[in-house]
Amino acid sequence: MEQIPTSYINNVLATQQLPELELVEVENLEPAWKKANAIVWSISFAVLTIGAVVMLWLIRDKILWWTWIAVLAPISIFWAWAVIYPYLAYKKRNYMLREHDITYTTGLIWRNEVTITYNRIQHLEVSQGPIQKFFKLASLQLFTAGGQKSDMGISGLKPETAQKIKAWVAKKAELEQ
Amino acid sequence: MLEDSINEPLNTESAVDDATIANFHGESTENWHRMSAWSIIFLIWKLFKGIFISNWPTLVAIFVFLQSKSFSLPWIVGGAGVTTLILFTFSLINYLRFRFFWDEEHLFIQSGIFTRKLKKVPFERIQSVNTSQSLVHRLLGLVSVTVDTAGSAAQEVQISAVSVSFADNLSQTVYEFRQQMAEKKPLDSLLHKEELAIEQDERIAKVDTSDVLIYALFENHLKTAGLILAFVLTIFQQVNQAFEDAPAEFLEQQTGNFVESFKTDLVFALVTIAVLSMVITILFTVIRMFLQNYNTELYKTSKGYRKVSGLLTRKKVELGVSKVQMIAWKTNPLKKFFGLYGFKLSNASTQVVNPGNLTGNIFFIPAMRLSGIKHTIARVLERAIPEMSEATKPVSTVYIFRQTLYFGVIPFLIALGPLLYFEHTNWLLAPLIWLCTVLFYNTFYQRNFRFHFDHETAWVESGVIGRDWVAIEWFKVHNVTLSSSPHQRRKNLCTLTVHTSGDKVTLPYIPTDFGRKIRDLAIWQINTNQRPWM
Repeated sequence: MEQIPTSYINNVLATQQLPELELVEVENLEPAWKKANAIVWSISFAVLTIGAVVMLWLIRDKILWWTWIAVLAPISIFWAWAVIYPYLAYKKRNYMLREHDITYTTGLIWRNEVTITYNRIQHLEVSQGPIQKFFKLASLQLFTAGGQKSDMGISGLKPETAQKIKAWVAKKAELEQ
Repeated sequence: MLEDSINEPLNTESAVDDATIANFHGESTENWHRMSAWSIIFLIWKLFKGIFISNWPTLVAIFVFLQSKSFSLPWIVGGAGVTTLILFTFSLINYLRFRFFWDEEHLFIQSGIFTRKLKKVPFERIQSVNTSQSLVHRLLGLVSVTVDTAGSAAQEVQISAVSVSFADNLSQTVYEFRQQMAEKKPLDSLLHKEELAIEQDERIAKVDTSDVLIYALFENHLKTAGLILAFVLTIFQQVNQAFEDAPAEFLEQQTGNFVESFKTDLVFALVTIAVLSMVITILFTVIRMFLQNYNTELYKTSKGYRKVSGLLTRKKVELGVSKVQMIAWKTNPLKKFFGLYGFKLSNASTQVVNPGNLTGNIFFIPAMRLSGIKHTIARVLERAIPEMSEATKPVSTVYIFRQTLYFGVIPFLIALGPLLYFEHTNWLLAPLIWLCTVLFYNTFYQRNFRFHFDHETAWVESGVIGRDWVAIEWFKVHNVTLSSSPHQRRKNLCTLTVHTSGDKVTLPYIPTDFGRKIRDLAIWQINTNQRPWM
C-alpha cells in the first residue's frame, strides 16, 4: 500500500469546518422496531412453511422421510435467525442528521453506511404498513435522481418523528437547491 | 371527430383531464397537434412487433397447426386480412387519440385507446429531445421523437412520426426555455457564458467505418459468446415447450451421426462448438456495431454535445454539458494498437433507470481517438487527464486473497467433491484452470487499480488486460456508501461506493480512514459547489 496524500484534503476540510461523521451523536430507532421486524419476517416465513408443508403433503408418497427434514430444517433455521436478528442488530442500526446530510448505518455482520446530502434529495415519502401501524411506527424513504428504488429507507421511526424529519429535510432540500 | 372525443369523456378520469387542459389553455383546442398520418404505419409495426416478441412461440405453433390442417388459399388470405384489419383499427384509434401541444413551460401529451391519459411534462424536467429516423422515416421526411425525462420508461414520451421541422421546433422551444432559465439564475448563466458563446456546432469526432469494424472485431467476444449461447438455449427451450419436445427429437434424428462422433471424440466436439460460437459471435458483434455506429459523429454544440449515428436508423441524441454525470472510456491492447477507445458520457437518462431498454439513449461512442476524449474532458471537467501511472494504488492486497477465496477456492472445493466421488478425474483440470484464472484476474486487478483525486474530481483506472477509466466530479455524487464485512473490519478496510444519477464508482478494500476522508470530501463538495448538477 502506497502512501496516500492525506494532509492535502485534511487542510481543506478543516478550513471549511466540515463536521466529522464520527464525532456526532447518533440516534437509534424505536425499540418497538425489534418486535415489529421479527413479526413481519415471521409472517413471511409462516406463509413459506405452510406452502412447503402443503407441497410435501401432496407428494408424500413419492418422497423419502428425510426430504421433510431437508426442506423444513433450513426454513426453521432461517426463521429463527430472522427473529433473533433484529434484537442483535438493533443497537447497530442508527441514523444521524447533520446540518447538510443524513447518514443511516445498518448491518450486524456486513455494515453499511449510506450518506445522502439534502440538496440532492428529489422526493421524500413516509409510509406505514399494518404491522407498523399496530406498533405505532413509520418508515421514511429518501429518493435521489436517477433511481427508482429509494436510496435510503429508515423503517423504525415514530410517525411524528418521521414527519418531522421529512418536513425538515424537505425544507433543507428546497433551501439548498 | 376531434371535438367529439373532447366533449364525450370516456370516464371521469378523462373528464378531469380535459378540465385541466381547459384551465391551462382556455378554449384553444386547435392548438393540439397530431402526428403525421404516416405514423399509422409505424404504430402498426410497433403493435405487431410488441405482440410478436411477447407471443412468438405461440404464433409459430398456431401457424404450424394451421398448415397441418391444409387450409385453402382464401382462408389464409382472409385470416391475414382480418389480422391486418384489427391491427390497423387499433393503430388508427391510437393515432386519432394521440395528441400533443406545448405552451411556454410544459409539453402536454394525451393518449390511450381505452382510457385516456394526459401527461404533463415540464420543460425543466426534460433531459433531452432525441430523434431517431429509420429508412422509412427518411423516405417520408419524418422523424421519431423521444423526450427523455430521466424517469421511468412509463414517464418517457415517444412521438412515433412527425415532420423534421416540427421536431426541430420542439427541440428549439425546450432549448430557449433553458436559456431563459439560465438568465434568471445568475449563477448558471455565469458558468455557461463560455458555452453560450459558441454559435456554430463544431464536429469534434467522426468515427470511420474501418475504425468501427476494427473496434468491433477486438471486442470481448467471450462474454458475448456466453450471452448468445444462453439466448439460443432459452429460445430453444421456449420452442421446445410450444411443440412438446418435437424440435429436440428432430434435432436428435438429424444430428444423430454428428452427435455420435462427438461422443467418441470429446476434444473435437469442444473445439467445433467453440469455433462455431466464436464465429457467430464475431459476425453478430461486427454487424450490430456497424449498423448502430455507422458514420457516428460527435458535435460540440452551444449547450453540450450531439451524437448522430446509425446506418439504417439514424439517431440523434443531445446531452448538455452540466448533465454529464460521469465520463468513462476504455480500451484493450489490440484496440490501443489502432488508437481506438470506447467512450461514454453517462447522463441521468431513462436508459440508466431502465437498463433493459437497449433502444434508449446511450451516449456511447465506439472507436474514439484519444484526442477527442481529451477535448471533451477538457471542456466538461475543465482539466487535463492526470498521469494515472503516478496515482495511488488504494486497493489492499487483502482483496486478492478474499476474492480468490470467494470466487476461486470455494467453487473449486464444491466442484471437487462430486468429481472425485463420481471418479471423473479427467475433468479435474477444469476447476483447477478456473482457480488459476480467478487468482490471476484478481492479482492484476489489484495491481492495476489506480485512483487519483483533487478537490473537485476523481479518476479511476482499472482493468486486468484492458483498461477502464472513469472520471467524476464530486458534486455530481448523490449517495455515498461505506460498507464492510467482519474480515474487512479486522483488517481496517472498507468498500466505498459513490453513486451519481448516471452510474456508480466502487473502490473496493481501501483503508477505512481513507474511505472516510474521501466520503467527507465528496459531501463537502456536494454542499459547497453551486454549479448545476442536472
